[in-house]
Amino acid sequence: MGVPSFDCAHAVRFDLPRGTVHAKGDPGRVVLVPAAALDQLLRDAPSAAAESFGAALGAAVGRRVAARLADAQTASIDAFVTQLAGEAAIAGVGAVAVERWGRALVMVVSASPLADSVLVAFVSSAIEAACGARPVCTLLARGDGVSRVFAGSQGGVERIRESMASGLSWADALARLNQGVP
Amino acid sequence: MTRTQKIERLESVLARVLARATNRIDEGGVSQAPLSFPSAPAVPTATVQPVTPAADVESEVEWPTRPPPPAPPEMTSRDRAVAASVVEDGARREALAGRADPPNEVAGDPSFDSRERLVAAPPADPPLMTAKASAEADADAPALAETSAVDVAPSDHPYLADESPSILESEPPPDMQIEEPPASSRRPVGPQPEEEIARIAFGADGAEPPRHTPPPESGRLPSPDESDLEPEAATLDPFDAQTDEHPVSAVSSASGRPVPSRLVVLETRAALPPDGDIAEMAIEVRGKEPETFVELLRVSCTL
Repeated sequence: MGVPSFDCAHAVRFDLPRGTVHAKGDPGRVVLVPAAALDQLLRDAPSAAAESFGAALGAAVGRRVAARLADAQTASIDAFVTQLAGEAAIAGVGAVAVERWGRALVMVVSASPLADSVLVAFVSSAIEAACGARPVCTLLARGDGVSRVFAGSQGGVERIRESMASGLSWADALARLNQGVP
Repeated sequence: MTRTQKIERLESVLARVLARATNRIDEGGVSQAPLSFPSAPAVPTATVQPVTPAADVESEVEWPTRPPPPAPPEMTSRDRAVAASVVEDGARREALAGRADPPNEVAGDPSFDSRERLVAAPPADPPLMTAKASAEADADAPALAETSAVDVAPSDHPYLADESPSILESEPPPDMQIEEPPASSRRPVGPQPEEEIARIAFGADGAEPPRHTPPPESGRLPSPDESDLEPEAATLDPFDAQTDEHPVSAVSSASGRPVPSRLVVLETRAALPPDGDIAEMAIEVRGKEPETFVELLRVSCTL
């Protein structure tokens, strides 16, 4: 069974006489904002406002992913990731991928202009808007433009944070989480 | 020497020759007379006629298709001389048969020795002569001829009458005894003695020497001595205390070498811990792989 590719044709429609930009599958307007201006805003805004901005951004992407998928609940991993990555790329959030560390789901976002807290809120809101289930996410690591976000339960996120707070690497924390060690 | 003396001497010589010729006839029956004596008395031809019983015996023996016997040839002077000597001998035999004891004749008589042998010699087998010959030889003694004819009958001869049961049941004469075979071919045929049977059945008390030739020394593997086996068995056999022994009856060897009385089972077992960490699990056993993104998220939320 072949994985359907992301169709980017007519993904963004620019109405130059009206001066409006529209994304495919979303009746709302889209604003092209410079990343530096956005980063400045988020840096001066409180963390909750920043996380709310990120969640709103993710929800918008998630809804477009869901619009592309006939049934997000039965969509395969590859199909879901393909549409999610395509919409994130059009939004300019970065390149999105998925890693499986045992039973743990890790979302990988590369070259994202978003800050750490805003990115975690973006990932969580995008998944929720696409498939209807809201995971609890936490940032595992960020380096070399690559951010890894764990998506799971609240208990799992707490154990990973405890493990990493105790000095373990994010990989060891994930291994420990898979072994069921508290 | 005068002429008359020569004649007398010649007559005496002639008399001795005649006497010797007579003795030869007595001993061998009808024999040739080298000389004819002109002064011998004439013998009537009637005395040499064949005896009818003898002729009957001959006719019984002869085949029915045999031509009749030829007529007796005419006797010559030589035959007459022989017949005369035969007649004299027949008359003498009649005289002997009539007397129980032979007469004490004068020593020096040339016929005495022959007659003495006839009396003193043991009875021999009857001569196998035809009835015709006996009739010709002794025409004046029909009793003797009949006896000869009866003796010739094969049914009366003990060794020619195969059908006689008395001969079969009686013991053979000494000259027919079976000679004893040589010692090399003798084998006991009769029943074994009781000692021999008991020895075969129950064995002998003493050790018998080997009946078969032992194998050559070069073809046999040297068997270790029992003293060499004992220490090794004591160290390698861990089951001695558990009575894991298998006693085996020792096989006696012909060479007399010592044979181990029992075989010891040597076992080699590996000592492995019951729950040792043999290897570390490198791959985690996974359950059912999630196929959809929603399932993957749900699994991750279970952590």
